[in-house]
Amino acid sequence: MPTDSPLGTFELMVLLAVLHQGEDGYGSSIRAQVAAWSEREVSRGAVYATLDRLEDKGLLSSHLGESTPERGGRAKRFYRVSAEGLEAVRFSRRTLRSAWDGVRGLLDEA
Amino acid sequence: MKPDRPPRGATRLLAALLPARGRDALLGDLQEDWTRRRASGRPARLWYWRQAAALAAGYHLHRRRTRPRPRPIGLAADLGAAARHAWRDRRFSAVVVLLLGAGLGVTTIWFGVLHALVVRPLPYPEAERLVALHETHVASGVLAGPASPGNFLDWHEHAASFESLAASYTSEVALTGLDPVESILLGEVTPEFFTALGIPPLIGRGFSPVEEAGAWLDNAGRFHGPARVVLHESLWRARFDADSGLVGRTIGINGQPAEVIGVMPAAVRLPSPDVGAWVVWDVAAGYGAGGQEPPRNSRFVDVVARLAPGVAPEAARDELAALASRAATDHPRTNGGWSATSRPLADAVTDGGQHALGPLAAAVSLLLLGVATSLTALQTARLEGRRTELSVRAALGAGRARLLRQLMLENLVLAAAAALAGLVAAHLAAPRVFALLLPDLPGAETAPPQPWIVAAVLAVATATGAASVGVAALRSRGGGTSDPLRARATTGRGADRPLVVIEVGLAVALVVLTGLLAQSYLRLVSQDPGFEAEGVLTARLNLEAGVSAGAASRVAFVEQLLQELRREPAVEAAGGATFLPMTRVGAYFDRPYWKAGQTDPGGDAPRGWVRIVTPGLIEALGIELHAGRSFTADDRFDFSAAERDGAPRVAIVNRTLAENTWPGIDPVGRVLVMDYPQRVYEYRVVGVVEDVLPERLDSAPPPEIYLPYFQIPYPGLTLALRTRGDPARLAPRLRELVVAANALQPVDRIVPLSDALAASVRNERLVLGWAGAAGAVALLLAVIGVYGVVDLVVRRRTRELGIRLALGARPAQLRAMVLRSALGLALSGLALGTLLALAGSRLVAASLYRTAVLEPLPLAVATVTILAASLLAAWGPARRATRITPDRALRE
Repeated sequence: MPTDSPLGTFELMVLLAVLHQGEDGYGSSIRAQVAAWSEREVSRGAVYATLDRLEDKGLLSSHLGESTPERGGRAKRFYRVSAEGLEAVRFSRRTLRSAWDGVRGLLDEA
Repeated sequence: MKPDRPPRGATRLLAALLPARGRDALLGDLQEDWTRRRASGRPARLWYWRQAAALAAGYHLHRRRTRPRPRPIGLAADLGAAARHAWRDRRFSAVVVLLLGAGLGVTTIWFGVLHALVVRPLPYPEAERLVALHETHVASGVLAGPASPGNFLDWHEHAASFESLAASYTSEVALTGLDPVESILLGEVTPEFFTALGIPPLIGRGFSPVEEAGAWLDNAGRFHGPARVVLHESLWRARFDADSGLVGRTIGINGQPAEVIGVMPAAVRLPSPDVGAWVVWDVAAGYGAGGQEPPRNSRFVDVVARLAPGVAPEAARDELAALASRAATDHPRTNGGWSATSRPLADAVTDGGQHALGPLAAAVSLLLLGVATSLTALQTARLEGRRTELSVRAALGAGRARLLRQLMLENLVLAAAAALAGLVAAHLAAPRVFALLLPDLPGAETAPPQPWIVAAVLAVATATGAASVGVAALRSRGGGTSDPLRARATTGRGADRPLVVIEVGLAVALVVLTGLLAQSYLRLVSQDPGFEAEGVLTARLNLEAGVSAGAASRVAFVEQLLQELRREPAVEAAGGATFLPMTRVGAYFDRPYWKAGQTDPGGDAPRGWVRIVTPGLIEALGIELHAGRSFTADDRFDFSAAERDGAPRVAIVNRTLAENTWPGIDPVGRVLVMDYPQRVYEYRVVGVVEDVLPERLDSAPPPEIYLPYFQIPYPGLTLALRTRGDPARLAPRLRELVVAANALQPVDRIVPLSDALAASVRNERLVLGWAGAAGAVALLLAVIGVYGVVDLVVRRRTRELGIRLALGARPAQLRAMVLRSALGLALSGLALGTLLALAGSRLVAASLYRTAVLEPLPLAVATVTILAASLLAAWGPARRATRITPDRALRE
């Protein structure tokens, strides 16, 4: 079922990045993934803000991992896409695909 | 060694800026990245800071932009909207903030002046209980004079109204043992001095009547009794490196060791703002050593006292008067006609600055009014421009009141910003302004911005802003319709005329004010001081310090030095005096005098200023000799003889004294009697010189008596050298010659005399500068205003003008029409301005020197200036009027 408000582009990217990371997705790695896709720098703050929001909406869940000296003794927060999140991604794909259909010809891309 | 943790400051800052949720994990991620980066050898510290900043900013921006937030309603919402609106319309906001901020900056400084002069904070605890005591002699016009040691002791012993009482005077001593030897101003004070002031020392201790009993400094600068000194903080920092171990050590004063027992904070500026150190003066011991009673008729000490708890100032004054009256009865010769009084110490200390209040108040008020008027004009214009927006909002249901509130809030935001800008600017400029404008004011420039000033400035800012918006809103009420087209057609018809007339009026008033001050200043400086200050170099010699004590050696030293100086090709004339006119440096005192043969008038005798001069001084200063002769090297005593042998005592008097004492008779050859503490002396008058003004150009010359230095070799001497060419160039050579004569002789304050002359009118010059600047600003505002109105008129009447042209009017006629309308504005403004100037006249009158308030010249200058400025402002629009082609006009 669709969520109340549609997914923004950035939100979608973040969700997809989390999906890609499997069980190991955390702030920095998610950001790096999105940056790799968009081929430009991604604001760290934006990523964390989005992660928080997605978790608020119930599309992500998180759990704390171990703390290491590398992190100054702070625990690491890992993110995982929830069932609702997965559903929202699917919905987005459907919506976007419909929108993209027909445009491909105009764009003339590989 | 590399830290094993990322920069703590950045981490802490970040932690403060992020919400609690997820913060820890976030910081951990960042640290992990930091570790990784460091491991790969890249610079991590700066990177960390940048990441932290970006993170904080990005997080908040992102959350705000995307998260749906309930829009707040009410005051907070409107305030936020107002701030955003101000930011969006940056250019207008900048103009308002700059304009109002400048006006507020000036106002802040003005409040600071008021604070220093009227509120008058003294840095001493319970300063309102501190009073200065004075002796008065109503018959000769002495209303707040110095006291004599004898009378001071009287008060100290018998006055019950004071819990502590102290006397002080200043002398110059040399700080020997330092390189270079320096002359400083020493405060010789009775032991209760610091107790009365009540301010604790920075380090060490102050004086105590028990510890420092019997200590005093004699006229040759030698210590008697325990030699102890308290330093002033500024001297301690400047010459002793603020060494806190100095307490208990000795320093050299006049070649003798003196123990430093404490340092007083810089805020203590008594008995003089320039005091460098204090020593104790046990009055009774000092005079007792010479077998004398402390004199009652030698009045040279300042007395400060702290009122006893519960005693009212009036009661203290009454007690003083009673004591003085008893003394007059018991000692009629010394105290006849003399009384005593007290006044708040704050009054005594701020005596100098009161004259600046009037003109400054006038200038600041006018400027602020001008700023307010300009703001109103700006707001009106802007309101017109926003008519569309406002009418749309009205259509959407915002009530009139709410719209007005909105406008007011926008204005509040701008006013607050302007107040902040003004306060900051004033705070930055204040030290220099105070140092220039009111240098005699104690510590005014270091005062932090007072809370009441900040509140007052905010109030003024708010009021000005609100008033400008209110007036603007009221005036556009007539055309306030929801039809923007119709609104535009009715705007500008004379809408700004009254405002511009006010602006012109204010400019006129300020120009008149400036003109009056300028005239007063010119009259002041064109006063003949009685001597020629240009081309004279002065220098101060403290002869106790370098020359071995003794009258004979002082005379020998000075005589030889002057001879050497006269041999210099650049020196035309050379001489020395205990104090020079127009400078406050040196020992000046006055003594009662009368002519021989007259009975001793006692306390009612007129008083003459005594100046002890060497031969050559009168010539060096260019003082005109009216009769008789000037002093020569023969006017001397032979000090080497046991008996004071030699020429009889001679004196030269000035014209005022001669006319007062021997009206219509040649005073040369007559005998003058002068009253000294121990006995009277008789002097034969050998010459009469022109009066010189002693201190200020606007003071009347007092009777003066010149005595020959070679008969009375005072330890302090100011040299005056008339030079060929620039006097300052001689300074190094002078120093050489003094050192050659005696290597240990300090010589300082080598300055041209013309500097002193300029310094004496410094305040007037600065007030003039302020008024002029304010006037220039007001004039600029007025010109802009006139231009705006005339331009608008031309635009609005383009159609009509085009028709006229088509019907055969000549361009010159049109131009004349436009210029006439500008002239109309100018004349109305002129009338208003003249009225304003008259109304404010009382504020300025006290500060004017021989200048009435309705002087024709400033009014004429103001008139011409305004008319010219208005014509200038109208020239552009006038020319545009002539270029209107009929077809273009009709098309509009």
